[in-house]
Amino acid sequence: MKLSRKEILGLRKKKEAVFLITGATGFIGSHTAIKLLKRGYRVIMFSRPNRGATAGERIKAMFEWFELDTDEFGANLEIIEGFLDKPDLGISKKTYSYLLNTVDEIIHCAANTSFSEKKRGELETVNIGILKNLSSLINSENSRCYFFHHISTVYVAGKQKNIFEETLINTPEFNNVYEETKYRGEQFISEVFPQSGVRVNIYRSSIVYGDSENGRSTLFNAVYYPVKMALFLKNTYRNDILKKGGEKAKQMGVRLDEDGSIFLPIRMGNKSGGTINLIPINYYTDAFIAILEYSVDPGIFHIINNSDTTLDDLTGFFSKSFNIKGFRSVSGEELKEEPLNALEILFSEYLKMYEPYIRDIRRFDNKRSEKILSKSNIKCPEFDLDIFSRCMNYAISVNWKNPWK
Amino acid sequence: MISEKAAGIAAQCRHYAMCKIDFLGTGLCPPGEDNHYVSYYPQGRMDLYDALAKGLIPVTERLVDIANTCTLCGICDKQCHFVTELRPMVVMRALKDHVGSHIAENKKIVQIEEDDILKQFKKVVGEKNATNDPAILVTYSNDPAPMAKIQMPQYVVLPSGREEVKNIISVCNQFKIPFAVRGNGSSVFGIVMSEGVVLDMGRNKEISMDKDNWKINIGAGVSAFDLQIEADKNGFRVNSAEPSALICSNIMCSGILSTFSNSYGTGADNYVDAEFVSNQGEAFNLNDKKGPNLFGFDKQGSPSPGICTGASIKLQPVTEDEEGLGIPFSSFDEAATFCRDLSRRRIGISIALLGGEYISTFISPTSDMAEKVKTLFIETLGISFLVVVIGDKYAIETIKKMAPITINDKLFRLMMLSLPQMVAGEWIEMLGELETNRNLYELFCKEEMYPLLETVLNPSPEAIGSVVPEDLRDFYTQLYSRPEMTNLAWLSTFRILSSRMGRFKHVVAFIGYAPLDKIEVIKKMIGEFKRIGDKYNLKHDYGFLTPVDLGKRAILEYDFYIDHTNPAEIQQMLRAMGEAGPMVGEMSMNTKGIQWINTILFQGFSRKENFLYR
Ligand code: SF4
Repeated sequence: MKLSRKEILGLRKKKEAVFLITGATGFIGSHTAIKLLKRGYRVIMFSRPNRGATAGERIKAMFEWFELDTDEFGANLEIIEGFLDKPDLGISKKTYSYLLNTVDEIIHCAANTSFSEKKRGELETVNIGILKNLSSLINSENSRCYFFHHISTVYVAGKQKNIFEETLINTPEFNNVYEETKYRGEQFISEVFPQSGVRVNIYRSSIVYGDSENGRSTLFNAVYYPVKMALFLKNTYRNDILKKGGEKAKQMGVRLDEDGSIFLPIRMGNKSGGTINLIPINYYTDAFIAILEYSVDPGIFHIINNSDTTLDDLTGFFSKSFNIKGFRSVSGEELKEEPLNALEILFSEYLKMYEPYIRDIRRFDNKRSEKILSKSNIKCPEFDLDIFSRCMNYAISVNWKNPWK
Repeated sequence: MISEKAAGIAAQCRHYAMCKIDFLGTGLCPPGEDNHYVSYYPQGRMDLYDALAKGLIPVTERLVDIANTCTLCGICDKQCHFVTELRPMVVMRALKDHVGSHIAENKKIVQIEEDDILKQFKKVVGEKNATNDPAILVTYSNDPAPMAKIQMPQYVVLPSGREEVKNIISVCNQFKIPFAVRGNGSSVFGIVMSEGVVLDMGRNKEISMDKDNWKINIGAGVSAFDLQIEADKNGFRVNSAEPSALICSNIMCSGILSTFSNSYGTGADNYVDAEFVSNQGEAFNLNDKKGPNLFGFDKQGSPSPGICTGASIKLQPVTEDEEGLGIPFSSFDEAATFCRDLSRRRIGISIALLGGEYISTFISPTSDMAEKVKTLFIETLGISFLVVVIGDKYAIETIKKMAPITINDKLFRLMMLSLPQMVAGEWIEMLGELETNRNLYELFCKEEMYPLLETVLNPSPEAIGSVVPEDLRDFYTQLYSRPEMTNLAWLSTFRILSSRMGRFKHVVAFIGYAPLDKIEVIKKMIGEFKRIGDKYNLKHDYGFLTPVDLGKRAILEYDFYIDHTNPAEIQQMLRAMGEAGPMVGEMSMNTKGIQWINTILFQGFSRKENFLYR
């Protein structure tokens, strides 16, 4: 190992360790960076320019959303603009050697989280290719870097049905290209990085949503998407009924009930069992930092929720929050009785991709993480109606768009 | 006083001659229809104003007449906006103002002396139909084709019928004056100019049906659009090219290439007979045993055999159950293979494989909308290519079995009438965010989705009308209320949308025949065009492909776009052409089935077998 436990802990304690954060403007990257800065660490945020805005401008806008100012952190915050997908990271030689001489630990948050096979090329570049570029940096003779924190997912487990421990696993089959590329990324770093004495921690999380306390978020995919879709349909048909005579709603079997609720005829196949594991971003970052600070020896950590949520829970929260009825689980035979209507086609397409996560029968062991988290009294809140409403209402308030972009 | 704004618009005229046909039911420019010279049509008036702005012509008697005869009716504004998004009325007003103040200020109006040659021409065609007035001449002196250079003719003559043409050619030969023959608008090669006489063939618009012989006889001034209207009225169809093209000129140039060539063929397949006057002034017919053999083909190219003064065009049967169908594809290979399969199985009448650029440009009333539609089609829906087929109900049913996802007339109409809602808004954004392994079009185009699409997109003629400038909205709304404007079969037959491809900039089209039995060769050609376009920094894109002769061959078009008023772009285009020409030449030497339009020029009457299989 490049540095001993003691040396690492010493550097961190004195807040002299410099963290490079990739994907610093992403959902997890931004929250992580800010948490580290707030704890007094030195952070280099690495980000690319986008839509005519420089990395600096983007990060400034992002800080404003966090109700912070980049200047507050003085010399503890540095911003470097570059492109991780380029072998030289898209930065000058001078900046490259600055990183070699300065960065102690890398927190690799940059990832592509799409499940779509059509985007395989992009996923392979971001989830694997970038690691190769970073390995050149880390494995350079004169690199200071001694620790690589890899943000991963428990879903590297792929299509297996066992209980997964916090160890490297061997996955033969995947539900999608995201799982596969994240798995291949883990394999790559665990083979390549330790060779040069760099410690590697892998943090695998389940599905991360917004802040459970205030509902704030910058990302509205996964569990948000079907809610957004259903609300859109509700508003569209409500408008048709109230303003246009309701002919189209009638044709679709949509109706407005006397209690003011809207009925959307959407059948879903009721495959038995399975739950969804959801963790809020505030819990995630607390857990991540606690593990990072505590665990100096390399390890794999599962950051998950000990209490799962069912699809029925979700539809229940949804109905109550938004006064929408009509979602019902039916048997496979019943589903086949009538061809899917347009609304069902949309939701079934969503479910097709999210089925493995929404009705997940995989189980993830988290003893190692729990040991650390319980010491710090960090607990994951149960995903309940209150949290659901808070998060969705925030999403509505920002029109389901990243509010700082 | 020359208005800069008007001069800017005037210089942009692409010479597509759409203002010379009544393709929107607005009626024609009245003075254009009465006087025949292009100078009296909006196109010519644009050129005139451009020429005045550049100081190329004085105010002449004819110019005064041209300016005075404009009624400011506004027809040209509607027509031209539909095609190019230009607003020529600004120019028409400015032209009238310019001439009006010239007269008010008592400035000189130039009278041009008649010479002996002109007198001879007038003897043949009548007083009105021959002139040496610069206001007429200048509108025949230029062309947006990049290799065209300004050539001011000495005379412009409007002959009608074979006898007049024969006699005009005799006068030309007697005085040793060179001549060029001109159809309705521009030419791909800039060959419609001459220092001597330009013969504008647009005057003879005679059409007569000969149903028993399944043919329609036309004069040299009949446009593809007018011919199709006449055929359609009688329950037939003809194979025809761009709507504003004069059929006879079009045949002389390249033969008729259209998406219906899939079943109606190309070259000699389309004509029963034709009449000509040779360059020496002798009359002959296509079917004369002793006449020149125009059915043959010389791959080295061939000079013009003379002037086509009339033709008998084949009438094709039409069934009442014809419909259009679009079949979306994300890959060219699959789309081309599908086209070939349809053609060899004899399924469908018209088949076209369109690229994203064409689809979006054709269906959008503005270029801004076209850009958005292109992004929507290619990036959001995953439709990079669309095969458009026109067929009878049996063909349509069969295609639906062959291709699981199709765009029928109903969906096509729905999409066209809701373009603004399609390209922006929550709904499409949300669809774009849907995680799926499929192309989004596979969901979007499902028939079960139609009721939902109707609800969220709210298609209406008003919606499509809302994207054009306010003063044209009512017109567009009424236009798009007409069912044919959103009917694939009608639009494919009358082709009124394809001239929109020149809306953004003037189009320089590379057209020819390619071996559809070797799709990899076609892809290589497309790749080369793309490479050349990139190298010379020109906008360029794949155009279309249509199977010919049961899918053995195809018509292929690749387009480059240039601002024809920008000398630097013209130079780049000439360099690109200098590289693309030899590239195609070399490929055609090494691969059977490649025959490019420059070798077909003047050989449009050939049997297709003579150029497809050599
Ligand atoms: S405004 Fe003038 S140029 Fe335009 S169509 Fe009417 S008469 Fe012709």
